[in-house]
Amino acid sequence: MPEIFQFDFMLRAFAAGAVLAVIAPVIGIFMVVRRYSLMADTLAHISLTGVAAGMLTKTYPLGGALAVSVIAAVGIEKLRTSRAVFGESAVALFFWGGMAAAVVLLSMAGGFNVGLFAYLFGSISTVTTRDLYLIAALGVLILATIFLLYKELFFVSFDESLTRANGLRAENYNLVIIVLAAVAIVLAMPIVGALLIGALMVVPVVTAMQFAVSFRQTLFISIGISLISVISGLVLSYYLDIASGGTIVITALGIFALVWLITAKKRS
Amino acid sequence: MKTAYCIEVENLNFSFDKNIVIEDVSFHIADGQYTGLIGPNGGGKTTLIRIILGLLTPSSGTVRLFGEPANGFMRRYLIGYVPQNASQAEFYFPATAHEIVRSGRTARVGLFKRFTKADNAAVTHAMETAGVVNLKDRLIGKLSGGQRQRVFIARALAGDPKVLILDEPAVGVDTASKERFYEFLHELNKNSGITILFVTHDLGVIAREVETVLCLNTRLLCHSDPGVFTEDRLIEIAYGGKVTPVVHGH
Repeated sequence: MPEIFQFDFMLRAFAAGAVLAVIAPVIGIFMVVRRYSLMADTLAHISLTGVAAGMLTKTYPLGGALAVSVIAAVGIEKLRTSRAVFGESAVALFFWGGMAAAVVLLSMAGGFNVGLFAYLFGSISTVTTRDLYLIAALGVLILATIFLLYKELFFVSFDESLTRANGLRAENYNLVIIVLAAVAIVLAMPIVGALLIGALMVVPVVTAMQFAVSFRQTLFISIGISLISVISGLVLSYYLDIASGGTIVITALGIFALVWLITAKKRS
Repeated sequence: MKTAYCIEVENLNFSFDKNIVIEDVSFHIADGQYTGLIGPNGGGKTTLIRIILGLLTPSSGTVRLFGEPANGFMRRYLIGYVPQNASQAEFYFPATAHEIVRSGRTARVGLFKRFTKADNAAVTHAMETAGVVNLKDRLIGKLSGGQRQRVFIARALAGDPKVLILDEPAVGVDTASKERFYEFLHELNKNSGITILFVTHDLGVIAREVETVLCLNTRLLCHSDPGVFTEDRLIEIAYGGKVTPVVHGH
């Protein structure tokens, strides 16, 4: 057996990474087509408040991140649909609010430390057994929700107005998309880190879109690209002793560049 | 026999920021009727349609659909809708014509349920009716304006609607396709018995095709058989004088 599989922490990283690789583009595709690409980043930054609160209270940082991320997702959607501010401004207000709260909490917890860096940039050695259980449970929750609501989520993503005209509660489905994104972010945090989570949700989907195929095929191709990126990123990270989050995202971007070049002829 | 109405509008008013958009509008549309809605830009046509579809709430007045109050009407999929500018839809959205048409059946299938064989047959039938079966695997963004238009009509038909509402359906479509399109609507109305309500600026087609014309300029200026009017008279009523009809070629 190769050395890489002899360590429990690597096995946990691979298991968590595989779940993440499937989940990220499954929810990411709805974010991309709804032009919510940067929403993932906002939620990730906000969820740092939960991480900071978890560190300050010496409880479970990932649990705190989950709570804050989901509450913020609901808040952004409510503020956006209230039309009190531009949708983009609603996202920005939460982004700054989340970062400010995180910084304040961290300073109270005694400043920045190594533990925080793991949540910012991801670290394969930090996936605990408890993280793995949480990631698996959230992964199943996200997949099951998307499976059950696939046709409604597709409909509202393509034509929100017609969805409403057909008597469906479009606002509820919008909320489902953004709350699932919030959950997916927490799931991704230990592996790719808060700063690069958005990339894993968006890059494989944008890459798959270059093939100009159906929505369903785009979804499956993006899962494939995501799996290749995460697994090869983790292996490279282990052997080269470099940060897993960055390695995974650079691999994904490399695949995008390759596909973009290959499909250039088809586009012209 | 008592006439059945699929759309009944009574004393409808709609204001937006103190501007009166629709004032005291009442009319009924009987099952199977072919109705054209005309009026100047800003005259409230799209607003009226959006109220009927439940996308806007009227300031006062009532709308009844199939005899039931529109507010809380559960079977909204019975009303198929082809939105304005459908021919200029999302260019980059990664979905095929078939996926788009099938999405039109979502509400009829129901929550947590999968598309059955019968649903897929209905989708195929809608694509055949709109003549887009050959486009089924093409990406929506790669279709021409006219092709996209027909895909959106197929989407509206996929839910087996009793009423089809079209908002300026022929905008951005060339003249030859436009003629074929009106012929298609005519056949749909006659052969399938679908009630049609469509917004247009094309007075020629109003005079030639529809059974009833509604002229809306904030108030309902006429509601009658178009045969009683000449085209000039229609322009006069709806647009307040002998003006050249607005051409929407953009």
